[in-house]
Amino acid sequence: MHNLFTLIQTALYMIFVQNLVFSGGYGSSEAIRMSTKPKQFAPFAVMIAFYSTVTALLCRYLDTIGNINRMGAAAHVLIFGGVLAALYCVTVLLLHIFLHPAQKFFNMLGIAALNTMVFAVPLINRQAGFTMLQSIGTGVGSGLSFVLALFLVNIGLRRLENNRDIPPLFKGTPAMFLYVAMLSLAFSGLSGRALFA
Amino acid sequence: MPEKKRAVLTPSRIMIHGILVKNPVLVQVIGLCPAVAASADIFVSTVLSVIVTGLLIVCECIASLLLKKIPRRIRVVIYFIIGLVVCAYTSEFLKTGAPDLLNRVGVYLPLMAASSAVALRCENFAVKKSLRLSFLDALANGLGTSLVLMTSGLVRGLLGSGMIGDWKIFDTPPLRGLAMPFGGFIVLGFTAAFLKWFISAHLTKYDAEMAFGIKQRRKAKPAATLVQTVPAKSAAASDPAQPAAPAASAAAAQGNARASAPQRKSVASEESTAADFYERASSDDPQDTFALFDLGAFNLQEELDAILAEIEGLENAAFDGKEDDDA
Repeated sequence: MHNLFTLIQTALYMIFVQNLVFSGGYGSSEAIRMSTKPKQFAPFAVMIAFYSTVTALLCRYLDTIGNINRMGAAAHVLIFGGVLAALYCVTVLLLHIFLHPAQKFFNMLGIAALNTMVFAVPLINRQAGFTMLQSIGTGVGSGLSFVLALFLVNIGLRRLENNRDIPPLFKGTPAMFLYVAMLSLAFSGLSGRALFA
Repeated sequence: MPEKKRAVLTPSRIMIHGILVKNPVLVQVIGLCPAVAASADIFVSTVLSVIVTGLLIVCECIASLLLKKIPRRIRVVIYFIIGLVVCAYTSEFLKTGAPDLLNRVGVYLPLMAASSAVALRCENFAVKKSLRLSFLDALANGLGTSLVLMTSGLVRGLLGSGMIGDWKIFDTPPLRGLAMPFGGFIVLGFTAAFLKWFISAHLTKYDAEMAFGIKQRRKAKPAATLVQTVPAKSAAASDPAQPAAPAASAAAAQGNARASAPQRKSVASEESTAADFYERASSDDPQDTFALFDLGAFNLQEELDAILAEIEGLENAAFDGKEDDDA
């Protein structure tokens, strides 16, 4: 029960307090670009949650091995990156053999697997010294936080498009950046840090 | 057609596109992570600029030379592995040469390996073009990204702490928020607006091509298609037993008297709305760039719902009026 609580607590922390997209800028390009394709939200959400959770789990497991744990930062980057690349290759291979999905699906899989947010999760886990359960919670929470970011950005973009009061110079990406800045500010507020000394 | 393509891809055009007109960060919205989170300091911005430019050049040249015949799903992981090697090497180099700078760059240095800028430029350009053009594209996009990173680092450093790098320029209360990601997004928003003004004012010949959006993924339908669906749904609503599509053709062919007068008026008024909507959706005008976002499905549904609601209202009003006359 305590383990489950720890896992859920870490996941909720990652979704609402330390949302990686808004509070850290990780995967913000992918979040903004994918938010314009609402039909692909569900498969993309599953993919990114899968990759962030499994990568966090595998990397944390590898980090428990003494020799790997003692290695330097650059070696860890290579090992964690290798884990992510291997996981992506295995997924592609399995899907190719058993399900034969279309090329479009593989394109989406590439974006979901090899982005800054998924790669940041094991590095953050190591930096923060998270336990195995906390690492899994971080992985699940990061995937879900990305989905939350997709929805929030999508809603904002629709409203921005219909808004005729935006000055012409700010229409398009400038307004979108400022909107995402407001969301990011809101999440920073939840973290409880002093923004202006 | 081939001559036209050759004329488009001149080196100067590639450079202007990469640096300004299709700036990777501000226009294509790729590689945002370092620009938003890590570029609060001019030194860190400089390091990241060098890395991203070098990584783009290496990856695009390799993609153009060696990876053209490899499937895309394999290529993306190759870019990632190349990025990992470059970042690990740079990390070791900085560890011995400038450990303080390495600490300031932090986790964002290895994350450059997974930068969407590299994968997207390689896939959208390098695997389709020659080595020379790919090199130029990588250089241009690297410089474009660097321009944004350096501007962001300069502005955020100056306003956030009154410093450029380690030099104190003026005493100011520190705005620590500017060092956070939301500060980065705010600076990017204003930089994008400035770039848009600059291109509109000084590079007018690029206006038609410029798109301050992600990518146009939706083809505009002709307004007539929408206008035809309106009586179809309306007729179907009046006769639930009849399916929508046959009702449309029946109403059109037989000249349904009840549907004609009020609907024609309504459709005429809606025609301009629909045409305006589709004109906006397919606009190449840089001033109307948000139309380039793929948000059409929602807006189309809203437009249709609004049109149907108005037609039903007009029908009911006409029908009520007829009843009153009869009475």
